[in-house]
This record gives sequence, C-alpha cells and structure tokens, in this order.
Amino acid sequence: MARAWKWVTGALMTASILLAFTYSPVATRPRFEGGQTTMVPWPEFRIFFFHVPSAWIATLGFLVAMIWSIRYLKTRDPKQDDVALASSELGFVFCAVALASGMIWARREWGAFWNWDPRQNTVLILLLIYGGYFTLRSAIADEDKRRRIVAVYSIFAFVTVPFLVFVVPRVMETLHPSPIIKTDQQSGVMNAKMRQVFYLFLLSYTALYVWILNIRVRVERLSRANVVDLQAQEVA
Amino acid sequence: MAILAKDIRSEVRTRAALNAIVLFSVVTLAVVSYATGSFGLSPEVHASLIWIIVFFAAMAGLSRTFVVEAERGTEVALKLTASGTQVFLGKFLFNLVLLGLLDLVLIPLFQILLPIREANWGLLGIGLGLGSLALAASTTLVAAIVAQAGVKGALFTVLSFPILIPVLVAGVSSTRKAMDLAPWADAVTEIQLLVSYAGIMLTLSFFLFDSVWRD
Amino acid sequence: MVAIHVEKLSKAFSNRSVLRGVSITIQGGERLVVRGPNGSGKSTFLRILAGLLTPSGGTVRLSTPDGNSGSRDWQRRWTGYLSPDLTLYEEFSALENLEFFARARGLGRNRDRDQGLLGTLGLGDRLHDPLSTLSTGLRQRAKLAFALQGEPRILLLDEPGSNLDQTGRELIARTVRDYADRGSAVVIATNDPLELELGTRTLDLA
Repeated sequence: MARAWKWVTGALMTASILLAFTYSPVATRPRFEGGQTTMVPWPEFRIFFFHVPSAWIATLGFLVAMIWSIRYLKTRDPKQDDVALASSELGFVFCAVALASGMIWARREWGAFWNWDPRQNTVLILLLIYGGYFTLRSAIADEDKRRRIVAVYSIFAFVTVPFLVFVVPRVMETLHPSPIIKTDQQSGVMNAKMRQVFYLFLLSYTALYVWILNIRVRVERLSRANVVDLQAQEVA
Repeated sequence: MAILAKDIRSEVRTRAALNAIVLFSVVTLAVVSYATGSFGLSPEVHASLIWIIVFFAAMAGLSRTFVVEAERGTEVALKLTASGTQVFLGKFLFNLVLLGLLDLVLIPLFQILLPIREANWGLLGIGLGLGSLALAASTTLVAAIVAQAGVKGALFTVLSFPILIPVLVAGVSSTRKAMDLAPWADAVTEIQLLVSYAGIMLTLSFFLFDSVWRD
Repeated sequence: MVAIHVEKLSKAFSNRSVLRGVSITIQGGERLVVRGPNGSGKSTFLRILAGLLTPSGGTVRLSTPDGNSGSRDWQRRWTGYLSPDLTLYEEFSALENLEFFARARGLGRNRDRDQGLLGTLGLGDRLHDPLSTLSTGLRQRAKLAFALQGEPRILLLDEPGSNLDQTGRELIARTVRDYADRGSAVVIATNDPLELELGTRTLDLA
C-alpha cells in the first residue's frame, strides 16, 4: 500500500471536517408557529455527516468480513482470515461510533437516547453480531478450527442483515407506529452543497477504513510470522 | 432419518432436553401469571410473553442435540458413519419436534394461567408454527458451532439472539394481530418473512454445515 | 485390491507440527503397525486415514478394489475405526448401537447379522443391556463390533488391546489376521509388544 495513502486519508478527513463547518451551509428546517412556517437554523444536523457514513462503513466492514470468510473457507489460507478479523474489528468500532452519534442525535432531537427506532435497532443488532463473532473467536483454542468456525458464523450472520435493514422495519412499523421522523426525510433537507460535503465524508471514511484495515492486517500477519520464527528457533 | 429416530429414542429414555424446555417454560409462565395477577393483558404484552418464553426455552434446550454428542464423545462415531446431510437434517428435525411439542404444551397452559380470551386461532397457530420452524432452522447450525467451541456457557444464546431477531419480531407481530382478531391478510408480511427466513436459513445452514462438522 | 496412498502427509495444530511429510502406500492384505512415542502422531495419522481430520499438507487417497478412487461415502461404508476416543451411545444397548450405525452407514436392518457379530465377540449374553452397565472390557468389544460392522476393507485400530483380557487380545489378533487374509488393509497404532508382532510392516513415527 502506497505510503501516500495515509496522507490522502488525512487530507480527505481534514477537508471534510473543515468544509462541514465552513462550506456547507447550516441546515434549516421548518418550524410551525402560530399559523406561520419559518425556516430556522438547525446546526445539530451536522452530526449527520459523521453518523451516517459510520453506519455505512459498519455495514461495509461486515460485508468485507463475510466475503473474506468465504474466501477462507475455500482456500484455508490464514491470510484471508486476517482480513476478515481486521474488517470485523473495524466494523465493530464504526458501529459503536454510529450508535453513539445516533444516540446523541436522538437525545437532542427527540429527548431520549433510545427510541426503539428501527434504524437504531439495526445498528444495535449489528453490534451484537460483531460481539458474537469476537466471543466465538475467543472460545475456540485451536487456530485452524477457530478460523474455520468463525468464518462460517460470519457468513451465516450476514444473511440477517438484508432482513434487518429492509424487512424488519416494515413489520415493526405496524408494531410500534412511531412519530419519529425517519432519516430519509433528513436527506431531503440537504441542498447541493451539503450533499457534496456528505459524499466527501463518505469518501473520507472509506479511505480511513481502508488505511486502518491495511495496517491491522499487516500487524496480524507479522505477529503470526514471529510466532512461527520463534518456534523454528526453539527447535533448532 | 435414522438420526432423528435415534435422538427421539434417546430423548424418550433420558428426557433431558424435554425436561429443560418444558420445565423452564412452565416455571416462567407460572411466575409471569403470578406477577401479573388479575390485571388484563394487552395483546402486545400477551404476544410478547409467549415469544419470550418460547425463545428462552429454545435457548435452554436446542443446543443440546449437538453439544451432547461432542461432550460425550459420540461425535466420532457419527462422523465415521453418517453423512453431513444426514446429521444436519436429523438434528434439525429433532429440534423442530422439540419446539413443536413445546408449542403444544404451551398453548393449553397459557389458557389456564394467562388466558387468551379471543383470537384468530388459525393465525395464532400458523404464526407460532412458522416461527418455531424459522427458530429451528436458524439455530441448528449455531448449535453445531457452539458444540465445537470450548467454553460453552451462554454462547448459544449470545450467538443466536441477533440471528433470531427477525423471527421474534415477525412472530410477536403476527401473534399480536391474531389476538387483535385481525384477518389473515393483515399478517401477510409477517408470514412471508417467517417462511422466507426459514427457507434461507435452512439452505445456507445446509451448505455451511460440512465446514463446521468436518475437522 | 484396496489401497491407501499417503503422500507427504503433514498435520499441525496451532503451529505445533505433529506429522511431517509422511509418505506410504498401504495395500490390502498388509498389516501395518504404526509405532512411536506418545505424541508422535500415531493417533493423528489414523484419524486422518479414517477421514476424521483433514491434513495440513499432503494427500491421502483411497483406491477401491475395482481401482476407482474412494469417495467419502465409500470411505464411510468400508472403513472400520477403533480408538480410545471412540465412544458409543451409553444409554443404548450394544445391539441398538449397531442397528443405528448400520442404518447410518446404509447397511439396512439385519438383526441376525448384528447379533451374530456381537456373539463372536463375546457379547452374546449382554446384547440388550445398556452399554453403561457393561465393564470397560466389554465396552471395548462393543467398539470392536462397531469397527467390524459391514466387514470393512480398511481396518484402523488405535490401541485395540486396551482394557481387554487375554481372550480379548487373542480375539484382536485373530481378527487382524483374518481381515488381512481376506484382502483388507489393516493399520494398527500401538506400543504394545504383542500387538507390534502382528504387523507385516512397520511405520515408525518417532
């Protein structure tokens, strides 16, 4: 991986953050008062820039983990499992960020940290699945067995994601009819400039993910190589 | 099929899994009934309770079918003689039978302790049945995975819960609608979800099983 | 003739290497004895031959009597395996165990066949008792019956004489010679001197 990547990532993230506060106009939303509709500033909306890309990367991390898990099962090459592990770790972190930022937003917007909104639930469940992945990893001693079993779980658990993101919210609507504005509505609030910043953030987050993923995978491979070398030295 | 018969026969003799499941659900039901007393239960709460009990009873009993083979060392004999397909189907069907029995025991028990006054019984039954099917379909592979792990503890529950959430959501929703005397048409989404989920989980488990089962 | 082709077989557990590049061809009719100190990989070797473990490197190929490559199904039907880590279902009787495994293997129900086998192994009067009520010696005989079910073309025995009395050990010896004479490939993993004598060939894993 080109050394330049970290500079690229750094530049992108810095640009995104700066632009979020300067270039992007402050969001506004309608307020109904005494029969009149006025547009009032809504600065808190900025958290949207941080929150949504996190959630997307969390899902991406999971997808990457699943794909590399399939590759591991096919090749039984530990290198594939390294990527799956690293991606799961990153996905977990981004998931936690998404959850936390979402909860902050919820508190500001609707008064409570948790609302059983279907989207919040999805992110929470994703976190639980990641948690299960790590718990399972630590529960199996033999390395080859661990990689194999955990790969299966990664693939199996991912299947729930399409259901959780698309189908379950529809069912839950009838269960908890909610007065909550959905995030889709939020995107209607964005104008062109804000949209540009938003996509920049998405790009930056992805760059960040790729950068850290690469480092983590290399660390994992190095630590494995060391163990083998040490053992070879012992035998000699 | 042979494995299903063998497991049923073993169960009849030892009654271990059945005890775990039925006893757990009866006790929980009694506790809830005592706690809620004479207060009427809204359909939401009532439906949720049924599924909470089914879920935890399943967590108590469904992993046994694989864990016991691993713990007792009979895994080796099975791997030598039976194909992965045979083992998976046998265990899945056994878990399905267990859940089916649980359902059959639970509903009359509910009528005694926490009576359901009126409901679209057909929908209730189908919802419960399909939900049990989806439950068994999703957890059989997880049970096989847990059997391969070292420290088991609550691992089965931890791994199963996220995977079962769609089933629980659809199950509770359909049961609640049944108790609201809703017509079948209202619960089409839930039924579709349960059927497709069961199908997908079963198919996927089928493909992945060998990777778990074969060392 | 049945044959097991082992090429550069290696197996490692969590970076601990147990088998390193073992190559050997075992023909039907041979009685191969595998010996070596504890931890040298005897049991692991047998497990790989039985299809219970996948190798880390190298290959194991079975050829059937008609010269084809043995599939997994073929292996399941025609391999007999006995080892200390094999356990049968304790709540069932010896006969019930055999009947179940016969069905799993695709052998079909044949009470006479199963009863006969158990009889020749000295379990004739304990056919219907749950295995949990049997002594370890009798249980070992039941495990032997499991291994011999279906008259396997490949017989893998890991410390077969353990827990057996003199009669039992003679039984093992007779069985091993019988099966080899009939064309089966027999592999025994052991450090017992009497069992070592049974071999026509030796594989040293030290």
